[in-house]
Amino acid sequence: MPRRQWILSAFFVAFVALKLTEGLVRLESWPLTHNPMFSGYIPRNVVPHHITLQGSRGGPWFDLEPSSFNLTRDEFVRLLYFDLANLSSNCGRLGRLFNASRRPGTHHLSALRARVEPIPRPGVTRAPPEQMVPCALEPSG
Amino acid sequence: MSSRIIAAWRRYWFAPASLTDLGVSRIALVAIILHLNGTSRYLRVAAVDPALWSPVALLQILRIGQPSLAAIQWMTWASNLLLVAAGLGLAARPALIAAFPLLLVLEAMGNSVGKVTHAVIPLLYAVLFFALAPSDRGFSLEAMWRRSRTAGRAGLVPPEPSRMSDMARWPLDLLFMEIAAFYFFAGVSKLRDAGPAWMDGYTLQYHLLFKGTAPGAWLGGQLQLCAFLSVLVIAFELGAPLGMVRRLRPAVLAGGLFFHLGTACFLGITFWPVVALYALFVPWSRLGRAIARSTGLARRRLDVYYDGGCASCRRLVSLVGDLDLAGAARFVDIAAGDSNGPRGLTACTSIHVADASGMTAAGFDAFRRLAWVLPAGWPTIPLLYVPGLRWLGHQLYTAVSNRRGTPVSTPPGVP
Repeated sequence: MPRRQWILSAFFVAFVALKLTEGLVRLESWPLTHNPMFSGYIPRNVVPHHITLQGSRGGPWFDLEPSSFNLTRDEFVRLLYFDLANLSSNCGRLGRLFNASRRPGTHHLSALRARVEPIPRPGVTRAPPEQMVPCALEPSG
Repeated sequence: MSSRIIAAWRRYWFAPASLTDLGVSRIALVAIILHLNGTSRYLRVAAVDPALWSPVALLQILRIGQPSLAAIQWMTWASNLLLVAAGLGLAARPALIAAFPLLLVLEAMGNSVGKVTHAVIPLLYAVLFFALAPSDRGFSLEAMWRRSRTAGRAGLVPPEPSRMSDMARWPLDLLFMEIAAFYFFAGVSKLRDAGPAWMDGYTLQYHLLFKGTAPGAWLGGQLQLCAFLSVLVIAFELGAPLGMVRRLRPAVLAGGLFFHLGTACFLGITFWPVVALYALFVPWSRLGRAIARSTGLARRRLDVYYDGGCASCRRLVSLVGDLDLAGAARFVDIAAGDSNGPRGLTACTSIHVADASGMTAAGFDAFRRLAWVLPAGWPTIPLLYVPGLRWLGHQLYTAVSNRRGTPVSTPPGVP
């Protein structure tokens, strides 16, 4: 076998070894991954929900999109959806960052709240009610 | 025994394959990345609040912090410029080698705002593999120019052997291995994290309702169908490595296409960069020939008569041969006595083409006819019919031919 083919063969073996290691050791450090996409089991009684951030500048409430915080939808979901117990402080953090990046006065939010809407799930009759969670625009403690 | 294993290994990885296919795939790869990144994809990384910046380990190791807007713009433009050069085939491999670390760092930055995405990882591997392989030897301006010069100096390089290489197969096989691992370990993760219960339909139902597309909301109400589709998902993901057997690869890729169409329609998740990579596995030369047959191009094939004793004719014919993906042209060297050619054609005259019916065209008109039968020439067809261009083209062709001392026959209709 020519030398070039030996070198490439060693590269192929190293690549396969890397892929096996990612999968077997469950490496998760981008760009190394074992692709755990949608892998967790979600039982029948867990109700999905949507969260919308609504801000106010002293007047009516208006919706704030993830792009208002320079975030993608996926990044927004990752920040807010998976820790509902701390939703108030997590969305408050986003609100404070929003205010910090804008000139004081008319552009600032005077209030921010998270609207948590349960999505009806077939077979689940007692879904939690819709909630309005106030976001802590002033840091606690 | 070991020699048989080595022989089988070499047959799998190093059997000669088409450099033209690899070259077209290089262009497709570059087009996918340019379309994905554009000029603004990463700008928000600089705009996001530093409090939300959470660098991936790679950036921590490289000690790269959150970039400024100017730095992101510079890196984006540099990588795009390198990709365009790679696509055109101008120093394609050095361009890909230089683009790879830029793209890796840019993508790492894009994954440092709290959410990691996996869809672009196979693209990065593809760039690396194409940089290491002779992807610049087919369908690249540099290669065409080099072959054309060689043809001018020493005679035409026979097209077929020069378009095959024992190094042209492995980049696509290794890329498929990456894609197969991508799916396979996604399936393994589901079974490890959730067990067979993942396929009872409830998990898929939850995600469908959560994503909230209209088709997904409907499908979420059909638990049995959710369970059936969950089984199909696991079967596809665990079966993806079967595509390492090349005969099974089209079936696996077709399965992947349905899988991604399903996730796009019902979940609103496209993962399109991974699906777009499927285009790299298209046997472009075979496809070109098949299109030529089915559209009748093959029946309308042209005989290209050229003077093999004339360097510029050889250069020109070499270029046309490189563009002839569909195999629609047959080259006839009249100086070698291959044929007498059309009536009145003598050695060292302008390039002539003739179709099966005996219709001939010469000089600029020959280029027009060639543009119709070479798929790579189709984009130039409108340009070639701009009013006045025929006259201008003939004048130019005459001037070039006269410089080499070639008497040019005037095609009918040109004063």
